[in-house]
Amino acid sequence: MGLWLSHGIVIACFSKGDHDVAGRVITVTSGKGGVGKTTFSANVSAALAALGKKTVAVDTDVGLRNLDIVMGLENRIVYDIVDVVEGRCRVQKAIIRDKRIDTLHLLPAAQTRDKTAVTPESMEKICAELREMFDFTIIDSPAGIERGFQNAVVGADEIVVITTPHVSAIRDADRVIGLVEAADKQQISLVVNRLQPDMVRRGEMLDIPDMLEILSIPPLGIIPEDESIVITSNKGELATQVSRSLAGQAYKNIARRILGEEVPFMTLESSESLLQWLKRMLKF
Amino acid sequence: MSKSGVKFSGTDYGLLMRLEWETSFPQLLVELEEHLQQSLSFFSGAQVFLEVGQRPILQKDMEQLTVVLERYDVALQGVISAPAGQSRRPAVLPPMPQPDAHTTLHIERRTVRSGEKIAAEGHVIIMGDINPGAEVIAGSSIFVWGSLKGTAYAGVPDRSDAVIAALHLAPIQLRIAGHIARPPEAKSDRDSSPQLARVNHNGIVVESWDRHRLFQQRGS
Repeated sequence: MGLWLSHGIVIACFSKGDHDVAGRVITVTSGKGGVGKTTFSANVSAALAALGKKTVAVDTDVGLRNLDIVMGLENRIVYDIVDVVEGRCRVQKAIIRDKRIDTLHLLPAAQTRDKTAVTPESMEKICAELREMFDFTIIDSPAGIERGFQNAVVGADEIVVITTPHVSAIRDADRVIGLVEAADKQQISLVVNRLQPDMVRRGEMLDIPDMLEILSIPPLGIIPEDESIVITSNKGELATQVSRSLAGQAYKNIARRILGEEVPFMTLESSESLLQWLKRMLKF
Repeated sequence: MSKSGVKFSGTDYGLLMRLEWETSFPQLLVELEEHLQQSLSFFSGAQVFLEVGQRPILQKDMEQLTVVLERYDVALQGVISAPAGQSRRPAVLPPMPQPDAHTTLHIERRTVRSGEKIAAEGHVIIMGDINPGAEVIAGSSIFVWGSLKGTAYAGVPDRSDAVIAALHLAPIQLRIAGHIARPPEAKSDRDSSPQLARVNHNGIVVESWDRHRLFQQRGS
């Protein structure tokens, strides 16, 4: 509704973490596949853990599990989320602790079953347990809007919708936001992944204001296209641990924003910071 | 009366409410409320335009303002902002449909997102955007106080006097009664003025919304 607003950018402002209260459950979702949910979940979990927050990343993509690979923990899986749901073990037993960052944990999905092995009710129960045990529970959602998505979203306090600057990804993100709003989730924020500032400048890629206008939810972060992500994800390394990774820096910034800090958007161009550019585009 | 941050004046296009921006916004709200309280009967049912001059107004302030106005039964007809060096005529003064005995009015105040569908028998008014992939279907006309980027079907099944109007008309597809139209291939310019689509003997035509007198002529 562009008429009467001078757009103020509202940076998603989540409540500050507090040691005495229960942890926060944040679901990462997108509708479309391949936009970077799993990479985001792994790296933001790692960044939160590196900031001293006890964090668990949960893979809800039963049948197509990937989060363990990206986090480099595949060879340590004994039990998984379906074992927990079906009562073969307690949730503590299925959780793997990372050896690089000892506050980082993973609750893996099962690879040999499908989405129907987990129900929204069982997921709500697991989220309630994790909320007591961890400062942050980051749930990696599968693509799509069916059962797997519902499982991922049902127990969440906050939703992060991730998109890339592609029309089809934005269309799917819009659909997902509609579903999340209909489910009465109040805290929704947007992450734009794989932005190529050069292409935006040449007018060959959608720019941030266009995406914000369509999706009309507050931005939580912008992650630049970064080839090193391909390498780190393939090796099971965390981009946030690699000092020169641009995307890694973006993930760390997002983690700090989740903790309630005001972190300016990264400088993606030499002449002008992205924030300045955003302000200019929105006639702030 | 002491100098107030809220000023009302009559103009050729209606009652104008001007907010003096030296005053802080919470203070303005208090003063506005005092104004409305003092002249309850005058303002009840009134339709006003808000003039904000060059100062940007935040959405949350706008929402608070709307709440106050609604409480005193004052309808906000439009917002006039004046970027430096531009005219101060209201950007938008389209006629609003009035419900009557035959046509109901369905109002939605939100963004209609991809995959959502809104269907109603009478007129449909959307105070918000219709995003690509969303569908709005009406037995009569559709009015969008925002951007129409999705699909709109008016006059379902056969009311060819129905219209589709939007502050920014950039739909994927329009249908009125049995007629179907796609927008021209060339991208329309982003700041286009409010437009209205209706049916004539050639099919669906699009014209400026504020010139359209459909609702003033009704009954003829």
